[in-house]
Amino acid sequence: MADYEVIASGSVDASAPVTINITSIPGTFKHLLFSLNSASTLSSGSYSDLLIMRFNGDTGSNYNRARQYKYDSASGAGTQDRGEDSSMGVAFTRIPTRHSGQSTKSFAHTNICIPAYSDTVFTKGVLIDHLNPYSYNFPTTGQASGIGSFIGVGGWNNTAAITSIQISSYEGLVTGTSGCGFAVNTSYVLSGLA
Amino acid sequence: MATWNLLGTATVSGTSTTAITFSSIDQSYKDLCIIGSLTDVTGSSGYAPITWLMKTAAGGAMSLGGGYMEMSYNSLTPSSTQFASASSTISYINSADSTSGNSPIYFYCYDYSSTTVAKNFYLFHGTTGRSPYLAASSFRMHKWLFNDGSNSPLGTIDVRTSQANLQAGSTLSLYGIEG
Repeated sequence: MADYEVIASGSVDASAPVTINITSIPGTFKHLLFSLNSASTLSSGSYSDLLIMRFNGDTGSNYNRARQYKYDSASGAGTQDRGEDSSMGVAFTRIPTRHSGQSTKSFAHTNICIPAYSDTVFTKGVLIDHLNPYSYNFPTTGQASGIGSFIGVGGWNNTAAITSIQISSYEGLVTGTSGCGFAVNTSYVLSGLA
Repeated sequence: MATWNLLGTATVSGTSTTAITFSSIDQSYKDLCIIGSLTDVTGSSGYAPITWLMKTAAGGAMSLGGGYMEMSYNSLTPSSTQFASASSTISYINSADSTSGNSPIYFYCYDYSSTTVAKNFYLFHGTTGRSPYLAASSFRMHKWLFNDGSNSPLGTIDVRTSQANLQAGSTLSLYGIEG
């Protein structure tokens, strides 16, 4: 085993899957790095969708997060908030859509660090660094100039080793919007560090 | 193609460890990265301060300047802070006496072994867990960038709690990245 290996990678086709499910993550590494380039097929209503990141198929209210973000072009301070006992996972952040008039070239980029994912001593903590593309203004028009920035810390209230990761579209999974999922060319890489 | 190489992993056992120190760091790589999670055995308001002390390969203390973005407990507005000179920096981790989570940590240093490039240190970390958030008084998140302008190679990284001791299971891994 190399000290750094790609465990899984892939990209989305035109079928607009609601969830990207990475299973059978081996416990032989110490830490995980996850990189995601994503957009949603949502075509009406909100100008943004939300990511949901869960572990081991746990859909219970066992996640918490703290985040700072700013998603529009206006000057001034951003926003910060926190959430606990949530079922929405750890990476609850906005991604661009394919709403009418939106560019099909717009993708958000997310880097997530998951230390000690295979340890069973502590509950799990993750670091999230996320950017929305230029010319994407959430939530008003989706087209004004600006860039959305998001950083956050999330936790899963479970000491179990992480063996699978589920990344979902909020609009597709929770709202149940027909045909809504990840846009074509959404892609990801999951790497393990010894 | 750059490759990552594990230079060392330190995992705390027992309840009497104050610091994790990587010393005499192999100078044959270009960049360094530390990934891990830490918890203190006790603290105040659910978190505990830790210091990051950098030393040159020759053993001298670095003079660190920099700043950070911070998200802290009950404030609704992000804040930032800068400092001109210090021998170490302070960040915060969970304390096990009152919280259930741990603190994920990501640290990166470009050109740590160079003798011609000033050292830039990036640090991203925060506290997690159900109880810190419910208490609304003990979660913290920091994103740091600090540097030492002397061009001296980095030889030692010392991560030390100034509160009590590190909780068993706390762990840090050090990686060398080839250029």
